[in-house]
Amino acid sequence: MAEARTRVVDVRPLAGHIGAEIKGADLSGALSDETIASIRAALLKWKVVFFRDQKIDHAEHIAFARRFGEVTYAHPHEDQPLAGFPEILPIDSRRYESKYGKRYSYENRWHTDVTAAVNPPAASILRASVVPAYGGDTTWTNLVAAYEGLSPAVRELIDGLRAEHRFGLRFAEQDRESAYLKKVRENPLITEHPVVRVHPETKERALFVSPGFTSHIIGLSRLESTRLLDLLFEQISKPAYTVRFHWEAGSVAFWDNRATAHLGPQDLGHLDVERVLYRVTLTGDVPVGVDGVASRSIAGEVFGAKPPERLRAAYSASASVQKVVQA
Amino acid sequence: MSSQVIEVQPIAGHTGAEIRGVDLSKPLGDADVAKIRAALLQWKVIFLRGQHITPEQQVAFARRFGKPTPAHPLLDAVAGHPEVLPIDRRIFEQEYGGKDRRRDLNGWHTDVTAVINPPAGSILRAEEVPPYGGDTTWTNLVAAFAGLAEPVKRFAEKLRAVHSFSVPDDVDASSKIRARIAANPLVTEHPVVRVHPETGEKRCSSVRPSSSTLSV
Repeated sequence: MAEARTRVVDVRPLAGHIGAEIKGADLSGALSDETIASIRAALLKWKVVFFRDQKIDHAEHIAFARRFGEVTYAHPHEDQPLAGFPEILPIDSRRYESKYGKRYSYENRWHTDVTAAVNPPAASILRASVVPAYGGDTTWTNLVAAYEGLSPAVRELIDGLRAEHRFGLRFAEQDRESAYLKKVRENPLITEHPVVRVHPETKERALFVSPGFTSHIIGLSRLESTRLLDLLFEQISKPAYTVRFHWEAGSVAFWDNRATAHLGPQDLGHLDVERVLYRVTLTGDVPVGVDGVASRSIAGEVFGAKPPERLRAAYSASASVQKVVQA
Repeated sequence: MSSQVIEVQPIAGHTGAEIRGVDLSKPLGDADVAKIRAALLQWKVIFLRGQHITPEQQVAFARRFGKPTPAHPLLDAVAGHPEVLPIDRRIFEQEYGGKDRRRDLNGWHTDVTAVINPPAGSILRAEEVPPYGGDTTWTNLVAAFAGLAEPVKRFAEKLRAVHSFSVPDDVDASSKIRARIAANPLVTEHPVVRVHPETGEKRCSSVRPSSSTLSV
């Protein structure tokens, strides 16, 4: 009866190690459990999947995300959540201008989302609303393939190492002073993660460091840590393990945040364009290393559906708007 | 030879544009050639989709922009087409003496900079490609230079570097390519910052890790 089983979605790989486009799924509608299962399978295999021409709003975006797990609050440092949608993190060139000065992404380097938290999101779902005609691409890298591409001796060396991740690592050098940044500094988010993470679903080993948030490797001298991290950062950014995606309005990218890092646009600095995307993240578990030892929180709260304690008031205001909207 | 309606669609912030409305199997008017050249100078690499052309047509197209070179100083041309270099895994296996040998060659590079006059342009045509994987990435060396800090620019402008054609250490000593390099070594000293002869722009002169050594 193989013929009777229609393929629910069409998965087209886009690069040798990472990335696939999924066709035949309308994310605004009620998707069958079978469709959700095939999207999840494609995500686990290709690490990031893309959907084109999706006409969805904030509520539909969140509803789609909920099919895959619990949706987090926008971001541990989001103190001005979108009215009615505290789960949505805007990636908005205009909003950044007021918070940080001109920029197009919240972190300009390769990074995995929110790894400063003890439980970084399991996945991120990003949807494009306003994008430039050209430029502004995002690139993802497969941290499992990057790990596997290292020689056995280096893999053995890093299998037992742990590294500190913190939010706001390089603010001092690249961003202007603002009340927002002061709040970030006063509420540090710091975690010690294994350098090699065992993926909770696929059991694959991933090279879980990235220049955006990884500050140093524990137990090494500063020189050793810097040199080894440079090597690992270069490894994860090798073009061999990457896929680059050009956004159109209505494009959606869904990545496995346990097995990828990504790089925001690098080529817009000389252009005066608007770029607005919206991100939703799924609550993640606490990473576990090859030795079975879990990550250890040094500062900050678990990152889940509830906003951090100090942001509860802002959250309540946003959530009450939601009730009005729904009434 | 009527002029075609040529559209130039940029595809990234600094590098690359797709050219639409050109059929390379037909002769191009001078105005079309001028438009394509202008897009090439601005975007550094241009792409044309859906072209089903023969090696003869590829060479004829190239001739509109300058004088085609022999395929390569050290590598064999396609039989019957002395200007066409095959990029073909099966041929690399013969020349490098092993299936995976070429993998380490795939660092960033500018074509044939080991010669005194590296090619002005390269025109690459795909014939057989995998359904996924196998992408090529280009970088804009003018933008890369412009992005350096002023003191580094001033420093780089004074330097010259040696470019030589070489292969990774683990390529067999008995391979065809090693014998050819030994018989005909290619080594040139270039400025590290090159002034583009048409645009006047300054660019990093492709100092590639595997084949360049700084001369001091």
